[in-house]
Amino acid sequence: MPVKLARIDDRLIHGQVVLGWVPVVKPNRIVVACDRVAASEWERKFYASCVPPEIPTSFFSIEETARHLVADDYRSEQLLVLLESAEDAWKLVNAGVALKELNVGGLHYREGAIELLPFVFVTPEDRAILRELVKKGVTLSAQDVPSNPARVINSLVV
Amino acid sequence: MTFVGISIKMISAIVVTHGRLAQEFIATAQKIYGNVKGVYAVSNDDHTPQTLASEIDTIIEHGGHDDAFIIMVDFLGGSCGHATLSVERRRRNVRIVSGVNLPMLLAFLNKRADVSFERLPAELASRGRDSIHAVDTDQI
Repeated sequence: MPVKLARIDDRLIHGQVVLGWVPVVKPNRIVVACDRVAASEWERKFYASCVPPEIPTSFFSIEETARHLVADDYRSEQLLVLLESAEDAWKLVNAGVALKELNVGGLHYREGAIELLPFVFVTPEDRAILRELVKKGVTLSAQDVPSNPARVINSLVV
Repeated sequence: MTFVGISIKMISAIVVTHGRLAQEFIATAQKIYGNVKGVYAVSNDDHTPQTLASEIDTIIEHGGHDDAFIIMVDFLGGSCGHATLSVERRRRNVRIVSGVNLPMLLAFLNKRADVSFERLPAELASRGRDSIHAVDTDQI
């Protein structure tokens, strides 16, 4: 499976991804896996406009993303997969995508969320989902940008 | 603004930026221009694009029915751009200008009473852009 980096970030494509991660990960393709964005023309245009033109960007629903990854449709490419929420990551893993590691790059404050790290706020539902991901063997690596240290947060959600 | 009982549309500004830029832009503009009303700062700190859009919505909904809003955003990418565009799509009394800088904000304060809501965004963009130069000191 050519997923070089799978990242949870509620901002999806933004400066930290384009200026921070893309030069390090050097993906051949960015995949935005989000049902809402896949169905929204203005959001697809908006996010596409944030990416350097030489990097193709695909917008898929979670189900389509899972289908492509399970079928290994991008076997010759290195992918940077962006997910908006813990729930979407869970849906992707549940659909058969075996992720070893998940970069937790940005879950910002929402009502009912508590702070694990300055850029990681989780609701009780998020925490339960992240716990299930840990049980499935996923390493949760919290890191906003590559120049900051990564911190494994598995012990914070179990 | 009320002139002899005639109420005209008030144009407010919402400056939406990464970090503390917005509040500092406004604080600095006030040092130059004096105290101003109807200028709001919004930071993307600790926000998702959705909660950021809600904060902008709250400001707009506190305004009167005849109020219009120019959102000045630092750049159109990222959470500030996403939130700003999602608000603008839902509202007729909102326009966006990207690339906010101090000359642009000062131009807003100077012109908002005199320039129509339809023309103001282009004038602000032009003022902001015209303030940017690669300075050739031989030419000064």
